Amino acid sequence: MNSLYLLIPIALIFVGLAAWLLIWAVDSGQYDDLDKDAWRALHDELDEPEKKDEQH
Amino acid sequence: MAPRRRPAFLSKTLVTAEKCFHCGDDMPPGCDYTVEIDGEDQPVCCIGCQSVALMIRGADLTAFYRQRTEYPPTPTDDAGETASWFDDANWVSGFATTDNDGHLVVPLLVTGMSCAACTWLIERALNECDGVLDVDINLNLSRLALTLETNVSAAPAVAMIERLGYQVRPWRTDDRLDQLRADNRRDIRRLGVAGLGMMQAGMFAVALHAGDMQGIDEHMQGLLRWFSAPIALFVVIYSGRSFFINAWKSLLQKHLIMDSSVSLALLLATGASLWATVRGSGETYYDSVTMFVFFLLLARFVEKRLRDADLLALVRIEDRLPEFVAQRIDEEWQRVPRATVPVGALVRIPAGESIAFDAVICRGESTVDEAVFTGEAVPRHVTEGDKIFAGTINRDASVEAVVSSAYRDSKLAALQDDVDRARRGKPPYLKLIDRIAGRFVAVVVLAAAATAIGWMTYDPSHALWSALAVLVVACPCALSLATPAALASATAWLRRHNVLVHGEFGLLASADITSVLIDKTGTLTETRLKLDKIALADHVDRDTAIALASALQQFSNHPAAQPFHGLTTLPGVENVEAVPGKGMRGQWQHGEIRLGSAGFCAELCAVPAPPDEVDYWIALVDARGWIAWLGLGESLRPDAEQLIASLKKRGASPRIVSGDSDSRVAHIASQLSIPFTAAASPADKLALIQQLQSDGETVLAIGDGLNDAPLLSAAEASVAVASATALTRAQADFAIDEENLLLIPVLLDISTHTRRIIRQNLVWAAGYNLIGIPFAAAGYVPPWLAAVGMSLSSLLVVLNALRLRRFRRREP
Repeated sequence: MNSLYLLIPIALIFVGLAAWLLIWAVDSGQYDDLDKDAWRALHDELDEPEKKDEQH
Repeated sequence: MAPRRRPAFLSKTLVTAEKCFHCGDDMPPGCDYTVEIDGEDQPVCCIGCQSVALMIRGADLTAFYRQRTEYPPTPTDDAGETASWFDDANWVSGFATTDNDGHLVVPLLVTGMSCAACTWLIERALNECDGVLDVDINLNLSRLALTLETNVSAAPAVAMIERLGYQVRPWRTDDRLDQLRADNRRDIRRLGVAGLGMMQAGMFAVALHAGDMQGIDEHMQGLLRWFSAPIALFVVIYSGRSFFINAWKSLLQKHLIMDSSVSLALLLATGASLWATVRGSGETYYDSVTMFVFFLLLARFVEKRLRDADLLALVRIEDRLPEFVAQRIDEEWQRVPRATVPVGALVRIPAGESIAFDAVICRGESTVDEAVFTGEAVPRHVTEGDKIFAGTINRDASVEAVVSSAYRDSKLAALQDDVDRARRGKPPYLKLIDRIAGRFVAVVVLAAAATAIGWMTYDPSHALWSALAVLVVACPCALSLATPAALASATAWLRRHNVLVHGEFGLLASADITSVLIDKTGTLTETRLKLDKIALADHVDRDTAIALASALQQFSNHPAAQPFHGLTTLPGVENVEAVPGKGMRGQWQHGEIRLGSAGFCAELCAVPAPPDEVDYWIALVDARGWIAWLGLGESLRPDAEQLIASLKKRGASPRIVSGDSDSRVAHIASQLSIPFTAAASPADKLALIQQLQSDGETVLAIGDGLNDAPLLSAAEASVAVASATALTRAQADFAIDEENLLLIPVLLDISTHTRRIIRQNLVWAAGYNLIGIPFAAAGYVPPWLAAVGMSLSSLLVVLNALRLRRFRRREP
């Protein structure tokens, strides 16, 4: 149980880090266009159109 | 190509034989253009679409067609002029910026990007352009930032985008847009931080709740609480700040709103939890607090994103004017940026271009298309001394004119002001939720106070905790999710059916519509004129007269010539030429032959008066005398009658409001047997709608032209039909993307349905809270149960809202 005295504070550090990363990402404009990027992330065919075309 | 790769939406409803494969417009009759895409011959509606499709195929970008979720714009033939503007480095530097490496970044406003696949297509195509270093597209804003190598012109890249069928304008920064972007970032930061905090506090809470049930070491409990506290505190202060600010502002105005109850609950729950942590006894609510903040912020974010579709409204009308004009300087014509032309300057306006200034013609004559202001399809004849207006189009011939006022004093700017004013003066559709919230807060606060007082007399040690439990149980989390969740669902449904939703109030108000104001030209009627009636002299027959007119009209692009295009022409008509603003003339067997206005034809021979005032009459005469009057009229759209019938069935009374002349409006209104108001200026329309609203009517406005924009902004709910201009679309609550008026009743149906779902949600959420309160007051609700109850009731509300996505269109 003693390990919890170490792990719980570490969890807090991780949350702080995650929040800082998120704020950094938002401020650098990565969340400015939710529509386009949400769509792009799911359509990987578009990364290599030529290769995929040959398969069809 | 495997058919399953095509978005389900496209393969089921849109890809049919009668639609253009590229732009989705109806195929014109007799059109046989095709393009082979991925091994299949696909129909396209015009040469423009064909060339874009071929270009896409040539660049190996056909994945675009499989991936798109919306159709791209139909290419227009006036592309090309814009690109050359970008060769002028001086002008470009007026809005471009430089990045850290010294490269030029040119921001562009690209209109027509309808879905994310369009952004991919444009990026790919631009990567092939020489000198383009980077392309960054923001779809929400229709903004494209082009990073160029040093000393490379943006013109080829702009030309490429235009060849793909999109329209390009320079992007000028706007304070409102910067503000919106900053707000959006702030909201995401707050939401994200609340989410992370909620997860971590929730993780600790699971251990704490389990400990409550199974027993937990006191040190461990203290440790978990001490580490939950900073997380919850940070979330409340960082993310929840806006609730406190709103609540404080409304308190100063002596109002209670949803945020009042939210703030009170947050403050008390956080404060009591901190106290319990310090003292080492009592209950903590850190998980509820963070979850509460997250859910509420999420609901607001969803609601705000709906409204942000309004960003379109920021498309400034001024940007539609030509950027460069020909000005007379030092006895020669020079091409100068529009912004530098002073009042009093002499400018030349070429035929076919839109007019950049309010001006007075000093040489030449032409006709101007003023549909922007009047909705009238037939252009006005102008000559020396006549005033012409910015935003209208010079059709026939080049004219020279003296600029009479700066843009901000122009008729176009005045129209924009009208729109803004109408929008501000719009009666706020009462926010259902805030109306309920005011009473709700009062009830909850009273209940909490009563609980505290009750326990004081009975067992003071329970007073604080029971009162607190009442507040937490009554947290109006589900209550505040009820409306945004339903609105988001309905919006998604409408979007899938080609209706864009800009204003969520419109969606709520549509359920109550009692009165409908409909524009005539372009909304109820086809935009093109058709040959309606004909009056003949004794010596000719109908077919000869029409064939003769067609022979004269076939080379004209005047709206009055369109009905004759494609008809059989009479051979033997020669030397046909257009006389600007008057008509056409040519040589036929008996000498000169003329077609056009009464005055123009009367120069040749005597012409009788036109048969009536309903149609737009053109005369046909030759040297021997009058031959015929050809009456051009508007035709109703095929679904107009059904629209009116369905509106009447819903109990809404329709009325035509038009800027057109009395007799023409009466003609259309009598076909539909509905009342009308004719010859109405935008200001008259505004007055009419305000009159109706003060009589207690809830008004739906339907229109397409810029002259309808003030009307649309002032109405409780408004619809812009498919042919509408960008500004009009931006003003309307709904913009319909296909030529189908019957989507309007569907829209009213889903609005009624949405209202029903919202009501169910509100009843459930309020009911849950009111039932929970007595138990909490009696001390039967431990913190973990409060947290579970809150999550479950929120989930239920969201799931109920999702039922809207399965809404079925009722067959009319």
